[in-house]
Amino acid sequence: MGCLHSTATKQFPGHEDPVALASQTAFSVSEVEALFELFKNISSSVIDDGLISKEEFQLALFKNRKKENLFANRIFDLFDVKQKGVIDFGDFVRALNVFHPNAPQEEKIDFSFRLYDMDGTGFIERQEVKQMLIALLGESEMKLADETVEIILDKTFLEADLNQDGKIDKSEWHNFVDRNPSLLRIMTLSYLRDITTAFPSFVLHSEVDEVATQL
Amino acid sequence: MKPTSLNAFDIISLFPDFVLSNLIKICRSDARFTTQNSASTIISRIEEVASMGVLCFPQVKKKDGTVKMLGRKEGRKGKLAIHVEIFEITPAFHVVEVKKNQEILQNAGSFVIKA
Repeated sequence: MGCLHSTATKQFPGHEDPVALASQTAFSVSEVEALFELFKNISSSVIDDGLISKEEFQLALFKNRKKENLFANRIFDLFDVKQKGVIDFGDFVRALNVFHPNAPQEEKIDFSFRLYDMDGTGFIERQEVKQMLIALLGESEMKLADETVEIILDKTFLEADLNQDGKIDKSEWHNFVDRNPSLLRIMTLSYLRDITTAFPSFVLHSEVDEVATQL
Repeated sequence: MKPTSLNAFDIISLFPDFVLSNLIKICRSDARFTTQNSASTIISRIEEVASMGVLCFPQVKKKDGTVKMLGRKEGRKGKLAIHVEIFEITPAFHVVEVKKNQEILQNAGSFVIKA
């Protein structure tokens, strides 16, 4: 029996079967298909190549393809698992899955650790946290004196950096999050649970149905 | 709560809705537009559109400035339902909001209601 020639694979490099993706994630098959509609929208916004570039990611987040943000950059890097400078559909679904309300805590803790460990050294260093804080504060027009920022960082590291080596390692992060569960709040997007209702317009040309009718 | 009693990560996570939520908010199918036509003109125009063309809406319900239309054809995943709501700003100025609901049409075209 020959291979099913999926047009999606032709147009979308790295496109994976929705059924397979659904089985690997907390999303149902129709939710994966809804995500595909979102993916198509984002990945075609600058260059229609079936992949999300950094510019397209920025365009989707900020409505401005040139706008950069430390946080968003880091998130892009984490989505871009294969470090190719672009995000394919499989990457997209698997990364968003971490933000699903039903995703395992362990994955959320791991992702958040890597998020804050901006240079990927395996440690969250004080300078990294300071940079992120300043960047976000700067964007929000909220002003905090440098002194105040330093006090906040002191307090944070006193609490989180158990061996007082000036940085937070993976197990210290784990420990810290266990004591402060609200820190994982950013790791859940509750409307991922209702992704199909967020896209009332999507025209479903279901690959799943096509397979079923051809058998 | 004084700023100094929050830890740095608390502050970071306070930032509005976290960046990723913007990803999901895009791609909405709702449309909203303004028109200087009267409500009755708008409604008759919608009814006209509903009765012609490929997308035939045999069921049109009107009530208090809203028009609900349910398609006849069963698409692969059900019938298309459109909900139009008209808001009066002044008798000569209306905002029309068009929503398509969850049911999906196999061969959706897009149709433009020219007020």
